Amino acid sequence: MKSQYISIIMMMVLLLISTLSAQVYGAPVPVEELDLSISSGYDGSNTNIKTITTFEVLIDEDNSEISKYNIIVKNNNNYTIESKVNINFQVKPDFIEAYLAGNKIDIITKSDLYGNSRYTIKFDMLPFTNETIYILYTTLLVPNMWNIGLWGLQYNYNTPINMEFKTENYDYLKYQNLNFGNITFGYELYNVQCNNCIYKDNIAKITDENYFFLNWEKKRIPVKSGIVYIIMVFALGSFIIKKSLA
Amino acid sequence: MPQKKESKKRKLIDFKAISQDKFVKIALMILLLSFFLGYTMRFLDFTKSPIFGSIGVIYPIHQETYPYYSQNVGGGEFSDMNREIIPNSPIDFLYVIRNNIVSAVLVSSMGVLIAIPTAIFTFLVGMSAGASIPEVLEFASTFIAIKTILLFILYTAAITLAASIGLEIGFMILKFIKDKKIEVNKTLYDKLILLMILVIINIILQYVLLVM
Repeated sequence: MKSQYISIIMMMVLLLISTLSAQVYGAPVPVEELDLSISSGYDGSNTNIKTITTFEVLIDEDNSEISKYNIIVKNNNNYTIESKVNINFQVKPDFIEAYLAGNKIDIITKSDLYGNSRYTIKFDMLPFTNETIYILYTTLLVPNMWNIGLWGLQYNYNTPINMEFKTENYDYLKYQNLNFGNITFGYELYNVQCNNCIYKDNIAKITDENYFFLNWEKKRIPVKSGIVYIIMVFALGSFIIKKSLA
Repeated sequence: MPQKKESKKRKLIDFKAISQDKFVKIALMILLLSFFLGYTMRFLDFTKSPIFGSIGVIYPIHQETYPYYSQNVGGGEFSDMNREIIPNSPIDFLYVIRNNIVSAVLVSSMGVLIAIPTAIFTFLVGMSAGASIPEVLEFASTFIAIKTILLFILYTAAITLAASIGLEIGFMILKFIKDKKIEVNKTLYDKLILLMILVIINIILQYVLLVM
């Protein structure tokens, strides 16, 4: 009896210690002690390079993409900056053209393979100047090939355009980009995930965001495999009925 | 003398005996039911990729057909725009030989382990084929789909024979443990010869119809 009492008391002591330790680990840290330096706002006022991207993207019923991108680049420095616009596609575009300050500019083809079509536009930014790049292309959106649904294909979209800047001395450059634009769809989307954008009435709207990402699903009906499946089910069903009646 | 005459009369492969063999029936049943399960799962989007489709030794035909329809997945726009064929396809003659021979040898020889791995592997082959066929029907052209179904039937025949051999070997081992004697049925040799012929036909047809 005595040993039972001792064991009960020991268990209670253990329980008390465990709850106390939980309180220690789980105790909230006072707000004054938190390091808030990370969240101190970054307004872009001290950036070396600032770009404003406006775009109009149209994705039609056949997933053909017609896009117009307008990029304004601001060089806030007293030195020349080498600028590079990289454009990456999943599929070789049917048409691509670029204009710098209203004049057509050469596009360097890095690769035009299936699944890896890369293009580059190079130009120099003089000190304290603005440049406007206008890019026009048509391409095809490809569904996620690792997740091919027979009832719905998954697609995603983010801007294929990336900017790169460097100086002659490879100095560190602060770069800020803001996106403004609309992606208009020619069909109804399902399971839409709009990251940094608002999707409504077949239009995804991006306002004042440095990054955006859009996932969606396009519905389809598997007719051929459906017919074969119905035949298979019918054959199996008739076999079972035949055997049960025999 | 009459015995000699009888042996001369016997065919090299007794197809009737093979078709009536209980192990062939069991193997075919496992394959067809697992095929139906795989087809159901893929058709209803329970799985959105062919189960083990990338493992060639389970069902090599999937990887062989994939380059033909992968460009049409988006809805046929690729073929209309004369897109380039996917480069660096892993399929070559060695791939076809390796996967057909290894799968047949694997299924039949795993009978040594009392046939359980044979049954499991046969089930996986059926399920993988069942999950691959709807994709081909849906996205490949009719000509490719017909070729794929023909090759699938031949591959199923080979795997059914290999599985029946494996099951029979497993059954023989169990009998040996129980009765301490080995009885080899003549049909087993017939099935082995037919399996070898089918594997060679499969290799040639898969290479000619899909890879070359």
